[in-house]
Amino acid sequence: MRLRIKREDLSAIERHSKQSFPLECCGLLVGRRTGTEFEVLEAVPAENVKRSPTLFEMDPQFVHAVLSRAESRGLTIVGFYHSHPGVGAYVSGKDAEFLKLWPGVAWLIISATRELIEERRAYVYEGDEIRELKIEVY
Amino acid sequence: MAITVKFFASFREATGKEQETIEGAANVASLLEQLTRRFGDKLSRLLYEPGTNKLRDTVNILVNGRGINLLSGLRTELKDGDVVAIFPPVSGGAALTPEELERYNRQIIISGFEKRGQRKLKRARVLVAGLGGLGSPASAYLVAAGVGHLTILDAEQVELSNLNRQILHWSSDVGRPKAASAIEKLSKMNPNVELEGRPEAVTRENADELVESVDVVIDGMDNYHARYLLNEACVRRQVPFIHGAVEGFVGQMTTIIPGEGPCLRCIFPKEPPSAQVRPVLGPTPGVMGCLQAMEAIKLIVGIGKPLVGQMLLFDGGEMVFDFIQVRRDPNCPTCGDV
Repeated sequence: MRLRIKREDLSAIERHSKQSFPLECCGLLVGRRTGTEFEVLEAVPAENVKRSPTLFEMDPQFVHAVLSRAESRGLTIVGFYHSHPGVGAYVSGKDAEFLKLWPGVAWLIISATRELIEERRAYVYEGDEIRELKIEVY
Repeated sequence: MAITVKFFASFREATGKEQETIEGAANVASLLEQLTRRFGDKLSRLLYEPGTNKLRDTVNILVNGRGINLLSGLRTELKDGDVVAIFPPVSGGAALTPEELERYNRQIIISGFEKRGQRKLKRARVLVAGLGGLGSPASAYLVAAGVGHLTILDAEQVELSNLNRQILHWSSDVGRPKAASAIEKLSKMNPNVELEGRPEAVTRENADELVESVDVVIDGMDNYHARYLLNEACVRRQVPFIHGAVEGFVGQMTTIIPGEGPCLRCIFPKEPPSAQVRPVLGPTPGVMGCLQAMEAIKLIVGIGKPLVGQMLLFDGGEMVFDFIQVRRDPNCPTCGDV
């Protein structure tokens, strides 16, 4: 399974992660899913309403607006992204709780400091388990 | 015309549908009632707190793009043509803050400990039973290391004769409950740690409740009656129990992991003689309490080798650390059947 993302979209997400440090940032990945491939066509930054170094949450009305706009174009929310300020791009207990509520949706996690992207990893909850996705940048 | 309900994520999975049409629902509550009748328990479980009509925190309901929390909640009125969307929140987050990464940097850079170890510590819950000579250094080092939740238990008040060794209690604390005195110092030492003070003794009634929600118990007590009670509860609940005891210049310590090595009753089948007042030089429990904290941290992080099946005997007078083997008693009344 893999997450395909354009270099410019990944760069924008990584810039967002660095600029938000020491707080977490978040956003949505609009695209399409074909079999085992999650193709990102657009990265949409969102506001982290928690404004926290260890938590993020998106405004549900914003999520709904992006979701509706994507579906009207025949696309979907193929994933979400958020940053972990310098602590590693692992699935935390809190992440796992929400990953399970969004089955089949990819979670891209970026571990970043103000200067450095330390790690980027992607996961999906599918078939009752959290699986890691290979990230393919094109 | 009717009301269109759109399901996303786990709600789409629970209903097997992308959308559903509902007629005659006057408000959100009655709409949800119709939906749960149609889609059954799987949907109810996602929507409501068990056994209540209270919506879970993990549900967003939007009417025409606006959250019902900004409208009239479950009483939000509906009319034909409305579109209701139901989906979970998008939330999550890392476990350590940049402040914590800096605070704990010198232990995070230990090979095998790392950020993963620190995250385990942050999730861990420890009980320190007794806030005297052993419990003072043990709880101080656990708090400094960043254990997530620490319960500290002691029913007594601070006495002047405690102060030579019980370093969390100071001159101005004489007469105060030890739990309150300790919490004041520990919370200043590291405000990230959740502290729970319990000014009570270990009893047959509270022993199980004390140990059931913790990952490790530290024995900082001064009598074998209470030690046996906690030992029994730890064996029943399969919780590691780190025993320590001191007198004068000497101390002893062992780590009890139920099922893996001997329990306290295997090692001391009969209660050793007790005394009202025992001689103690402060550094003796200082050494032993630090080593108990070390064992607890090792167990939580999963690093090193715990002192199971061995008793450490420390003699500060001769400055000797000695170890003796201690074995399980297959007929032990406490752990024989574990």
